[in-house]
Amino acid sequence: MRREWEARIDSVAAQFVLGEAASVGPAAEALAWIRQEAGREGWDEISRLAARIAERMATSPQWHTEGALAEGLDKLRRAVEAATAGDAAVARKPNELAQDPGLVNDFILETRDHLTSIENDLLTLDREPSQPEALHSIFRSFHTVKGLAGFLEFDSIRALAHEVETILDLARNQQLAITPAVIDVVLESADYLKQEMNRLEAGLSGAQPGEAAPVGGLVARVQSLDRPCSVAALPDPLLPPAAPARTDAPSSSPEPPAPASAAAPPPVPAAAQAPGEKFSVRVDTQKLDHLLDMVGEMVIAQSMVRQDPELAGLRSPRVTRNLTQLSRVTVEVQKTAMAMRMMPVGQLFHRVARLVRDLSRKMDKPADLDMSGEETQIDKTIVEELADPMMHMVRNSLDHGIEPAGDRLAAGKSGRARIALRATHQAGHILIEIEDDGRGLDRDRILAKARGRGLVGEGQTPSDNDIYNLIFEPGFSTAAAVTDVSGRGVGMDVVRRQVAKLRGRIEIHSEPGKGTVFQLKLPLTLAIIDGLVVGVGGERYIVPIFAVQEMFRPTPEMLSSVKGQGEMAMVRNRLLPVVRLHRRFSVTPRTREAAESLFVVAETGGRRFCLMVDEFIGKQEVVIKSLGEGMKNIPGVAGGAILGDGRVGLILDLEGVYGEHALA
Amino acid sequence: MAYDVLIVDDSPAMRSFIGRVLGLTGMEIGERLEAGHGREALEILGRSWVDVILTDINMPVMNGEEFLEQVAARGDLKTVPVVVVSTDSTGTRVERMMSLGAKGYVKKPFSPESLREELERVLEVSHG
Repeated sequence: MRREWEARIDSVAAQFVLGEAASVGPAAEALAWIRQEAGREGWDEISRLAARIAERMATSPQWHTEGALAEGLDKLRRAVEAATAGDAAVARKPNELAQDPGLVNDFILETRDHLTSIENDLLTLDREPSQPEALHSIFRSFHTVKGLAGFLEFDSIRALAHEVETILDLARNQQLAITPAVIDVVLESADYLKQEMNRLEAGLSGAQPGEAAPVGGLVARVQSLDRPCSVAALPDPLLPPAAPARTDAPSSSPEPPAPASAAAPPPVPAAAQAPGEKFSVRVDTQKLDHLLDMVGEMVIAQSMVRQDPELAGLRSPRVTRNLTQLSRVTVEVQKTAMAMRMMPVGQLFHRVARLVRDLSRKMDKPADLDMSGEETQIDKTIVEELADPMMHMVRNSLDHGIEPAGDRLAAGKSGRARIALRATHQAGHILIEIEDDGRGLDRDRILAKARGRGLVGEGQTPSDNDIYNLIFEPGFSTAAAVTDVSGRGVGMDVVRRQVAKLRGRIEIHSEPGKGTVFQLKLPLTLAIIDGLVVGVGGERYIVPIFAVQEMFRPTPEMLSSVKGQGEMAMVRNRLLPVVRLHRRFSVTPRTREAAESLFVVAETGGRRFCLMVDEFIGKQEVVIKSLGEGMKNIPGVAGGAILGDGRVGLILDLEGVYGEHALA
Repeated sequence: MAYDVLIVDDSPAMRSFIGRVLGLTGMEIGERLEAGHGREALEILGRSWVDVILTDINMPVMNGEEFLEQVAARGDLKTVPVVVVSTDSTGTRVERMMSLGAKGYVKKPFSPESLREELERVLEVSHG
């Protein structure tokens, strides 16, 4: 085996003594073999050295006279000698490590961490190709994944990671420019790893994992990135002419001209080194949820003790003081536990960034993405559940909102579109905005369509904003042509429903020719709800406060009965349906006279209605308790809560409450 | 006698892999200590008895080279052999590690046998 290696090196060396008759072809072939085999063996330095020698031979017309190259070749020979001396003899044994689910799981978790940071760093590089720290970090991630895969003998992963590492190493040494094409292939490699992690994970949970997906094509594409590609001969259609894949001015200088030394990498920022110093523990989400549940119980137990009439009867300053201390500590524990479920919304943004990048290239609509407020913390479940709706909205923006570059230029706009993602805190809520600078919504077309579908009566003239919000109605799509990106009928109504499920609201603002803004208002956490506690008979119900528009005692003049639509109330010149909560839940109310009851105007899914109740008890933050399997799917009930006085209240799911009414 | 081992690597998964291979060598292993980088390793060396160190080269905060320099600078650690465990298989970096005082080297991935061989060599275990 060692022979073979030496033969290849000899064949490269032979070209140097041929003088003018030297030909780069056989040498390049031999070096490619060395590179590939070294990669397979895991001898990275040899592989990289061979690549560098090949590269220099290809770019220097007088290569056979260069002493430096001959020296490099000698170095390669020594390295190969050293490498083949020992390792070759070691026979492989069946892999015991890969049989250990614990180790494989460690591998999956860690690789996924790396994949997240790889994606973020790639998007950074896409914006600023000369970001040495991002490049370095991607390199390290692939390097680590390769090392781990080597131990487990996941060969396809190792081979791919090795090739990507090689490419990134060239880029680190300023021998390869980071072009969109490079980023594409590296992203694709990350996708492959992601897919493999899912496959391995399925294998761990007992499913038949099947074979690793074929990786050869991808490996070849990664390798082709650093072909001393005479750019002229093989123009890459993806590349703007101004940015050739590499700087290969024919020159005998060892390095491509200047920028290398001029742009000496700045010192590593401290933040990039932080992960090593900041320790964290991975916790199963289920355990965390259980902890939160128990904290909820504790908060309630604590409030029950505080409100206990017997204890209050003691009038003991010491008991009062200790109880105050207890509640202070309880609140602190609750806050901390809640904070554990929070994560920065940036993770979500980065997924969107990836989508914008892919789509804008696919649709040939150049677009830049601005992000702000990525560090804003929000409930983990919201981040997860919001991914699909966000993707959908951004897809819509790019597909329908953003005009083709030509149209934009004609309209006096920049040819590059701008999409902005913003997250901000707002008094107990988080506001997420998605803004584009596209053509805006087509008011007249939406209105025409809404009239056609009977959503707006002929006589009615809704405000612009009301018209825009019609796009959230089920089945509403004005896309003239169905593209493969959006317009498949799953529409914005799904987005609104998903957002409502997270107890959030969505609004849209648009200006013709200027663009569109989607505004998502979401609760910070799903574990606590700010509610209006109302009473019907002896029961307590909690109406989520974000849905409450107003509360009042109706006068008889406001009430009417419309044929076919049941009871209605005229509120601020709008006729709203009335839902009697006692009827809905079959309880005996204190009064059946609407004029003696109280009305809560609630809004859900864009519709308003009046909820008839006996009394308002107050506003309270309640910890949501799941009702357990048996009661999970009762329409109109979102969950239960134990109130401060120890009584149980049902949290209303307004969509369900209203839906049942509409069907009746 | 059981050997107390310190594994220095920034990848937690890699530390468990190495730990597992260590277990498969059949050698008697006592404490298995872990550090994510050189500085953390030095702290551990200050408070725990260690018979042999296995260290990576590329690490954040304090890399393998600096770590070796620090170990060499401390007289009390002269008797603790350091084995470099790295994917960089040949050339200058490993040579440099050896010149800084590393006693042995294994390339990732490695078999239990090759690890045992290297450990026995640096620990001067005699086969009686």
